Amino acid sequence: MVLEENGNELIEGCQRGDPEAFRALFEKHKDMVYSIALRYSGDPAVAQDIAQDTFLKLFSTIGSFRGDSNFESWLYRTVANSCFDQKRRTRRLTPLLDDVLAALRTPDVSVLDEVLRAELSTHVRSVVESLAPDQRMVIVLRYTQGLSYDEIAEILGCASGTIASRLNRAHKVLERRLSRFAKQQQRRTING
Amino acid sequence: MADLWLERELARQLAPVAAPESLWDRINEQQRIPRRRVSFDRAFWPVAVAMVLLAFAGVLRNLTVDRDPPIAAGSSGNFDFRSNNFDDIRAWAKTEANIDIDLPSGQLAPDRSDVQLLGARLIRQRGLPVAAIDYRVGGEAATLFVSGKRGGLSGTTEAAGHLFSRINARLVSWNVGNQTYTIAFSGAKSPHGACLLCHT
Repeated sequence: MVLEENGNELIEGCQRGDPEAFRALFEKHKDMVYSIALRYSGDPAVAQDIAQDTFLKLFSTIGSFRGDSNFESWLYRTVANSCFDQKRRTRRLTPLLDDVLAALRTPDVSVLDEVLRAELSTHVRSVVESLAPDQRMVIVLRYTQGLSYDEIAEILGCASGTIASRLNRAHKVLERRLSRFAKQQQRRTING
Repeated sequence: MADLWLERELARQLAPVAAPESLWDRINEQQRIPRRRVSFDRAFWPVAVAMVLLAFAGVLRNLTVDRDPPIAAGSSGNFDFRSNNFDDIRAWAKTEANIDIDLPSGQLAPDRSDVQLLGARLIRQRGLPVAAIDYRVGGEAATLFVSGKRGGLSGTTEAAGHLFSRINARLVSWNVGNQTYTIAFSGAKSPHGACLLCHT
Protein backbone atom coordinates (compact mmCIF):
# COMPACT_ATOMS: atom_id res chain seq x y z
CA MET A 1 0.00 0.00 0.00
CA VAL A 2 1.63 3.20 -1.13
CA LEU A 3 -0.96 5.63 0.08
CA GLU A 4 -0.04 6.81 3.55
CA GLU A 5 -2.01 7.83 6.57
CA ASN A 6 -3.08 11.44 6.78
CA GLY A 7 -0.57 13.93 8.14
CA ASN A 8 -3.25 15.36 10.36
CA GLU A 9 -1.10 17.93 12.12
CA LEU A 10 0.11 19.44 8.87
CA ILE A 11 -3.37 19.54 7.45
CA GLU A 12 -4.77 21.13 10.58
CA GLY A 13 -1.95 23.69 10.48
CA CYS A 14 -2.88 24.56 6.90
CA GLN A 15 -6.52 24.83 7.88
CA ARG A 16 -5.48 27.34 10.55
CA GLY A 17 -3.63 29.32 7.86
CA ASP A 18 -0.14 28.56 9.20
CA PRO A 19 2.40 29.42 6.44
CA GLU A 20 4.94 26.94 7.85
CA ALA A 21 2.41 24.15 7.54
CA PHE A 22 1.78 25.06 3.88
CA ARG A 23 5.50 24.93 3.19
CA ALA A 24 5.90 21.63 5.01
CA LEU A 25 2.97 20.10 3.16
CA PHE A 26 4.48 21.27 -0.12
CA GLU A 27 7.88 19.79 0.74
CA LYS A 28 6.29 16.49 1.66
CA HIS A 29 4.36 16.07 -1.57
CA LYS A 30 6.15 18.17 -4.21
CA ASP A 31 8.10 15.31 -5.81
CA MET A 32 5.05 13.12 -6.11
CA VAL A 33 2.96 15.91 -7.64
CA TYR A 34 5.70 17.00 -10.03
CA SER A 35 6.53 13.43 -11.07
CA ILE A 36 2.96 12.66 -12.03
CA ALA A 37 2.69 15.96 -13.87
CA LEU A 38 5.95 15.38 -15.75
CA ARG A 39 5.28 11.78 -16.66
CA TYR A 40 1.77 12.64 -17.78
CA SER A 41 2.68 15.72 -19.82
CA GLY A 42 6.21 14.81 -20.89
CA ASP A 43 7.22 18.45 -20.70
CA PRO A 44 8.99 20.03 -17.68
CA ALA A 45 7.44 23.45 -18.30
CA VAL A 46 3.93 22.02 -18.52
CA ALA A 47 4.65 19.86 -15.48
CA GLN A 48 5.55 22.93 -13.45
CA ASP A 49 2.32 24.58 -14.52
CA ILE A 50 0.35 21.51 -13.49
CA ALA A 51 2.18 21.24 -10.15
CA GLN A 52 1.63 24.92 -9.46
CA ASP A 53 -2.04 24.61 -10.30
CA THR A 54 -2.36 21.56 -8.08
CA PHE A 55 -0.83 23.21 -5.03
CA LEU A 56 -2.81 26.41 -5.49
CA LYS A 57 -6.01 24.37 -5.65
CA LEU A 58 -4.88 22.39 -2.63
CA PHE A 59 -4.09 25.46 -0.54
CA SER A 60 -7.31 27.21 -1.45
CA THR A 61 -9.55 24.23 -0.71
CA ILE A 62 -7.80 22.53 2.18
CA GLY A 63 -10.16 24.30 4.57
CA SER A 64 -12.93 22.07 3.27
CA PHE A 65 -10.92 18.85 3.58
CA ARG A 66 -12.49 16.51 6.11
CA GLY A 67 -10.27 14.28 8.19
CA ASP A 68 -12.41 11.23 7.60
CA SER A 69 -11.18 10.89 4.01
CA ASN A 70 -7.71 9.99 2.82
CA PHE A 71 -5.65 13.09 2.17
CA GLU A 72 -3.29 11.48 -0.29
CA SER A 73 -6.14 10.14 -2.37
CA TRP A 74 -7.55 13.63 -2.38
CA LEU A 75 -4.19 15.06 -3.47
CA TYR A 76 -3.78 12.42 -6.18
CA ARG A 77 -7.24 13.28 -7.45
CA THR A 78 -6.36 16.97 -7.52
CA VAL A 79 -3.18 16.44 -9.50
CA ALA A 80 -4.94 14.05 -11.88
CA ASN A 81 -7.64 16.65 -12.54
CA SER A 82 -5.00 19.33 -13.08
CA CYS A 83 -3.34 17.05 -15.62
CA PHE A 84 -6.64 16.47 -17.43
CA ASP A 85 -7.31 20.22 -17.45
CA GLN A 86 -3.94 21.11 -18.90
CA LYS A 87 -4.02 21.85 -22.58
CA ARG A 88 -1.56 19.81 -24.48
CA ARG A 89 1.35 21.87 -25.70
CA THR A 90 3.34 21.40 -28.84
CA ARG A 91 4.89 17.99 -28.90
CA ARG A 92 8.62 17.79 -28.56
CA LEU A 93 10.59 16.63 -31.52
CA THR A 94 11.71 13.04 -31.19
CA PRO A 95 15.15 12.29 -32.62
CA LEU A 96 15.11 9.27 -34.88
CA LEU A 97 17.38 6.38 -34.20
CA ASP A 98 18.66 6.19 -37.77
CA ASP A 99 19.65 9.85 -37.76
CA VAL A 100 21.57 9.47 -34.56
CA LEU A 101 23.32 6.34 -35.75
CA ALA A 102 24.23 7.93 -39.05
CA ALA A 103 25.97 10.67 -37.17
CA LEU A 104 28.31 8.17 -35.60
CA ARG A 105 31.20 7.56 -38.00
CA THR A 106 32.74 4.76 -35.91
CA PRO A 107 30.15 3.34 -33.61
CA ASP A 108 31.78 2.45 -30.36
CA VAL A 109 29.82 -0.17 -28.42
CA SER A 110 29.42 1.94 -25.32
CA VAL A 111 28.39 4.95 -27.35
CA LEU A 112 25.92 2.82 -29.28
CA ASP A 113 24.49 1.48 -26.04
CA GLU A 114 24.07 4.97 -24.78
CA VAL A 115 22.41 6.15 -27.95
CA LEU A 116 20.05 3.18 -27.98
CA ARG A 117 19.21 3.73 -24.37
CA ALA A 118 18.44 7.42 -24.98
CA GLU A 119 16.40 6.56 -28.02
CA LEU A 120 14.44 3.94 -26.12
CA SER A 121 13.69 6.42 -23.35
CA THR A 122 12.48 8.97 -25.83
CA HIS A 123 10.26 6.47 -27.61
CA VAL A 124 8.75 4.93 -24.49
CA ARG A 125 7.85 8.33 -23.10
CA SER A 126 6.65 9.53 -26.47
CA VAL A 127 4.33 6.53 -26.86
CA VAL A 128 3.03 6.99 -23.31
CA GLU A 129 2.30 10.64 -24.10
CA SER A 130 0.35 9.57 -27.17
CA LEU A 131 -2.07 7.46 -25.14
CA ALA A 132 -5.59 8.69 -24.46
CA PRO A 133 -5.69 10.80 -21.26
CA ASP A 134 -7.53 8.19 -19.17
CA GLN A 135 -5.14 5.41 -20.21
CA ARG A 136 -2.09 7.63 -19.76
CA MET A 137 -3.10 8.61 -16.24
CA VAL A 138 -3.57 4.97 -15.27
CA ILE A 139 -0.12 4.13 -16.65
CA VAL A 140 1.48 7.05 -14.78
CA LEU A 141 -0.19 6.23 -11.47
CA ARG A 142 0.74 2.58 -11.89
CA TYR A 143 4.37 2.96 -12.92
CA THR A 144 5.42 6.32 -11.50
CA GLN A 145 3.74 5.88 -8.15
CA GLY A 146 3.38 2.11 -8.03
CA LEU A 147 -0.27 2.27 -7.02
CA SER A 148 -2.53 -0.76 -6.99
CA TYR A 149 -5.63 -1.10 -9.14
CA ASP A 150 -7.82 -0.39 -6.13
CA GLU A 151 -5.90 2.75 -5.22
CA ILE A 152 -6.04 4.05 -8.79
CA ALA A 153 -9.74 3.24 -8.90
CA GLU A 154 -10.33 5.26 -5.73
CA ILE A 155 -8.41 8.24 -7.09
CA LEU A 156 -10.12 8.27 -10.46
CA GLY A 157 -13.53 7.41 -9.07
CA CYS A 158 -14.19 4.25 -11.04
CA ALA A 159 -14.25 0.50 -10.55
CA SER A 160 -11.09 -1.60 -10.30
CA GLY A 161 -12.27 -3.53 -13.32
CA THR A 162 -12.32 -0.34 -15.34
CA ILE A 163 -8.74 0.39 -14.30
CA ALA A 164 -7.67 -3.13 -15.27
CA SER A 165 -9.34 -2.69 -18.63
CA ARG A 166 -7.68 0.67 -19.29
CA LEU A 167 -4.32 -0.68 -18.25
CA ASN A 168 -4.73 -3.69 -20.51
CA ARG A 169 -5.62 -1.53 -23.50
CA ALA A 170 -2.70 0.80 -22.78
CA HIS A 171 -0.30 -2.14 -22.53
CA LYS A 172 -1.44 -3.47 -25.89
CA VAL A 173 -0.88 -0.08 -27.53
CA LEU A 174 2.53 0.24 -25.93
CA GLU A 175 3.56 -3.31 -26.90
CA ARG A 176 2.55 -2.70 -30.49
CA ARG A 177 4.31 0.61 -30.81
CA LEU A 178 7.43 -0.45 -28.96
CA SER A 179 7.75 -3.93 -30.47
CA ARG A 180 10.73 -2.89 -32.59
CA PHE A 181 12.63 -1.83 -29.47
CA ALA A 182 11.63 -4.94 -27.56
CA LYS A 183 12.95 -7.20 -30.33
CA GLN A 184 16.10 -5.12 -30.61
CA GLN A 185 16.62 -5.41 -26.89
CA GLN A 186 16.10 -9.17 -26.95
CA ARG A 187 18.62 -9.58 -29.79
CA ARG A 188 21.21 -7.54 -27.94
CA THR A 189 20.63 -9.57 -24.79
CA ILE A 190 21.13 -12.84 -26.70
CA ASN A 191 24.18 -11.58 -28.62
CA GLY A 192 25.70 -9.92 -25.57
CA MET B 1 -0.72 -8.89 -18.59
CA ALA B 2 2.09 -6.89 -20.16
CA ASP B 3 5.33 -8.66 -20.82
CA LEU B 4 8.18 -8.26 -18.41
CA TRP B 5 10.28 -6.15 -20.72
CA LEU B 6 7.53 -3.57 -21.11
CA GLU B 7 6.76 -3.41 -17.40
CA ARG B 8 10.42 -2.98 -16.57
CA GLU B 9 10.89 -0.26 -19.16
CA LEU B 10 7.79 1.60 -18.05
CA ALA B 11 8.93 1.52 -14.44
CA ARG B 12 12.36 2.75 -15.49
CA GLN B 13 11.27 5.44 -17.93
CA LEU B 14 8.44 6.76 -15.79
CA ALA B 15 10.32 6.71 -12.50
CA PRO B 16 9.62 9.56 -10.06
CA VAL B 17 11.80 12.65 -10.28
CA ALA B 18 12.62 15.50 -7.93
CA ALA B 19 10.63 18.70 -8.30
CA PRO B 20 12.67 21.74 -9.35
CA GLU B 21 13.76 24.10 -6.58
CA SER B 22 11.98 27.00 -8.26
CA LEU B 23 8.55 25.41 -7.85
CA TRP B 24 7.87 26.79 -4.39
CA ASP B 25 8.78 30.32 -5.50
CA ARG B 26 6.30 30.05 -8.35
CA ILE B 27 3.57 28.85 -6.03
CA ASN B 28 4.42 31.34 -3.33
CA GLU B 29 4.08 34.21 -5.77
CA GLN B 30 0.64 33.05 -6.78
CA GLN B 31 -0.85 31.67 -3.66
CA ARG B 32 -3.27 33.36 -1.41
CA ILE B 33 -3.09 31.44 1.81
CA PRO B 34 -6.65 31.05 3.02
CA ARG B 35 -7.25 32.62 6.41
CA ARG B 36 -9.14 30.84 9.12
CA ARG B 37 -12.89 31.29 8.98
CA VAL B 38 -12.72 33.30 5.77
CA SER B 39 -14.35 31.14 3.16
CA PHE B 40 -15.50 32.47 -0.17
CA ASP B 41 -17.55 30.30 -2.41
CA ARG B 42 -16.35 30.31 -5.99
CA ALA B 43 -19.58 31.87 -7.07
CA PHE B 44 -18.84 34.81 -4.80
CA TRP B 45 -15.97 36.14 -6.85
CA PRO B 46 -17.75 37.27 -10.02
CA VAL B 47 -20.19 39.21 -7.87
CA ALA B 48 -17.40 40.53 -5.64
CA VAL B 49 -15.52 41.82 -8.66
CA ALA B 50 -18.65 43.50 -9.94
CA MET B 51 -19.25 44.96 -6.50
CA VAL B 52 -15.73 46.32 -6.25
CA LEU B 53 -16.06 47.96 -9.66
CA LEU B 54 -19.35 49.45 -8.60
CA ALA B 55 -17.79 50.51 -5.34
CA PHE B 56 -15.01 52.34 -7.12
CA ALA B 57 -17.60 54.18 -9.13
CA GLY B 58 -19.38 54.98 -5.89
CA VAL B 59 -16.23 56.27 -4.26
CA LEU B 60 -15.46 58.51 -7.19
CA ARG B 61 -18.97 59.80 -7.25
CA ASN B 62 -19.03 60.37 -3.53
CA LEU B 63 -15.68 62.08 -3.51
CA THR B 64 -17.15 64.52 -6.00
CA VAL B 65 -20.24 64.88 -3.87
CA ASP B 66 -17.94 65.48 -0.91
CA ARG B 67 -17.20 68.98 -2.11
CA ASP B 68 -20.84 69.95 -1.68
CA PRO B 69 -22.95 70.04 1.43
CA PRO B 70 -24.90 66.82 2.06
CA ILE B 71 -28.23 68.27 1.02
CA ALA B 72 -26.76 69.40 -2.26
CA ALA B 73 -25.69 65.81 -2.92
CA GLY B 74 -29.18 64.61 -2.23
CA SER B 75 -30.68 67.18 -4.47
CA SER B 76 -28.34 66.49 -7.36
CA GLY B 77 -31.00 64.32 -8.97
CA ASN B 78 -28.96 61.10 -8.90
CA PHE B 79 -31.19 59.36 -6.39
CA ASP B 80 -34.00 57.11 -7.47
CA PHE B 81 -35.37 57.44 -3.97
CA ARG B 82 -34.45 60.20 -1.58
CA SER B 83 -34.91 59.59 2.12
CA ASN B 84 -33.05 59.78 5.39
CA ASN B 85 -35.14 56.97 6.85
CA PHE B 86 -33.63 53.49 6.76
CA ASP B 87 -36.95 51.66 6.94
CA ASP B 88 -38.29 53.64 4.02
CA ILE B 89 -35.20 52.92 1.93
CA ARG B 90 -35.38 49.26 2.80
CA ALA B 91 -39.04 49.07 1.86
CA TRP B 92 -38.34 50.89 -1.40
CA ALA B 93 -35.54 48.46 -2.36
CA LYS B 94 -37.83 45.54 -1.57
CA THR B 95 -40.67 46.94 -3.63
CA GLU B 96 -38.61 48.09 -6.59
CA ALA B 97 -36.16 45.23 -6.98
CA ASN B 98 -37.08 42.63 -4.36
CA ILE B 99 -33.80 43.34 -2.59
CA ASP B 100 -33.69 42.58 1.12
CA ILE B 101 -31.37 44.80 3.13
CA ASP B 102 -30.48 43.05 6.34
CA LEU B 103 -28.27 44.80 8.84
CA PRO B 104 -27.02 42.83 11.85
CA SER B 105 -29.57 44.20 14.30
CA GLY B 106 -32.23 44.72 11.70
CA GLN B 107 -31.80 48.46 12.11
CA LEU B 108 -29.05 51.01 11.82
CA ALA B 109 -26.56 50.96 14.65
CA PRO B 110 -28.06 52.40 17.83
CA ASP B 111 -25.59 55.27 17.95
CA ARG B 112 -26.44 56.68 14.56
CA SER B 113 -26.12 60.35 15.23
CA ASP B 114 -23.04 60.40 12.98
CA VAL B 115 -24.78 58.51 10.19
CA GLN B 116 -26.88 60.51 7.78
CA LEU B 117 -28.76 58.64 5.09
CA LEU B 118 -29.17 60.54 1.82
CA GLY B 119 -31.02 58.28 -0.58
CA ALA B 120 -30.76 55.25 -2.83
CA ARG B 121 -30.33 54.24 -6.44
CA LEU B 122 -30.95 51.06 -8.35
CA ILE B 123 -28.23 49.72 -10.60
CA ARG B 124 -28.17 46.65 -12.77
CA GLN B 125 -24.92 44.79 -13.10
CA ARG B 126 -24.99 41.92 -15.61
CA GLY B 127 -28.66 41.50 -15.02
CA LEU B 128 -28.31 41.49 -11.25
CA PRO B 129 -30.15 44.32 -9.46
CA VAL B 130 -28.04 46.23 -6.97
CA ALA B 131 -29.28 48.85 -4.49
CA ALA B 132 -26.81 51.68 -3.82
CA ILE B 133 -27.54 53.55 -0.62
CA ASP B 134 -25.64 56.78 -0.11
CA TYR B 135 -24.91 58.05 3.37
CA ARG B 136 -22.49 60.25 5.20
CA VAL B 137 -20.51 59.45 8.33
CA GLY B 138 -18.70 62.19 10.20
CA GLY B 139 -18.95 64.41 7.14
CA GLU B 140 -17.51 61.81 4.77
CA ALA B 141 -19.34 60.09 1.94
CA ALA B 142 -20.06 56.38 1.79
CA THR B 143 -22.17 54.05 -0.31
CA LEU B 144 -23.58 50.69 0.65
CA PHE B 145 -24.20 48.33 -2.29
CA VAL B 146 -26.57 45.43 -1.74
CA SER B 147 -26.97 42.86 -4.48
CA GLY B 148 -30.11 40.96 -5.26
CA LYS B 149 -30.28 37.30 -4.36
CA ARG B 150 -27.95 35.04 -6.27
CA GLY B 151 -27.64 31.27 -6.07
CA GLY B 152 -24.48 29.70 -4.77
CA LEU B 153 -23.47 32.42 -2.34
CA SER B 154 -23.03 31.87 1.33
CA GLY B 155 -21.58 33.82 4.21
CA THR B 156 -22.16 35.28 7.59
CA THR B 157 -22.18 38.69 9.19
CA GLU B 158 -19.19 37.79 11.35
CA ALA B 159 -16.26 40.17 11.10
CA ALA B 160 -14.05 37.27 9.97
CA GLY B 161 -16.26 36.95 6.90
CA HIS B 162 -15.61 40.51 5.77
CA LEU B 163 -13.20 41.20 2.96
CA PHE B 164 -11.33 44.49 3.36
CA SER B 165 -9.56 46.18 0.50
CA ARG B 166 -5.83 46.76 0.66
CA ILE B 167 -5.87 49.71 -1.64
CA ASN B 168 -6.36 53.39 -1.03
CA ALA B 169 -10.08 53.31 -1.65
CA ARG B 170 -11.73 51.87 1.44
CA LEU B 171 -13.88 48.94 0.55
CA VAL B 172 -15.38 46.24 2.64
CA SER B 173 -17.46 43.38 1.28
CA TRP B 174 -19.29 40.45 2.84
CA ASN B 175 -22.02 37.97 2.12
CA VAL B 176 -25.23 37.48 3.98
CA GLY B 177 -27.07 34.39 2.86
CA ASN B 178 -27.10 34.67 -0.91
CA GLN B 179 -26.52 38.40 -1.19
CA THR B 180 -23.32 40.43 -1.38
CA TYR B 181 -22.91 43.66 0.55
CA THR B 182 -20.16 46.16 -0.25
CA ILE B 183 -19.38 49.50 1.34
CA ALA B 184 -17.28 52.09 -0.46
CA PHE B 185 -16.05 54.89 1.76
CA SER B 186 -13.92 57.95 1.11
CA GLY B 187 -12.62 57.48 4.66
CA ALA B 188 -9.93 60.14 4.74
CA LYS B 189 -10.52 61.00 8.40
CA SER B 190 -11.78 57.77 9.86
CA PRO B 191 -10.89 54.52 8.05
CA HIS B 192 -13.62 52.50 9.70
CA GLY B 193 -16.25 55.21 9.84
CA ALA B 194 -18.40 53.47 7.25
CA CYS B 195 -18.76 50.53 9.63
CA LEU B 196 -20.83 52.77 11.90
CA LEU B 197 -23.78 52.08 9.63
CA CYS B 198 -24.08 48.64 11.19
CA HIS B 199 -21.76 48.60 14.16
CA THR B 200 -21.38 50.79 17.23
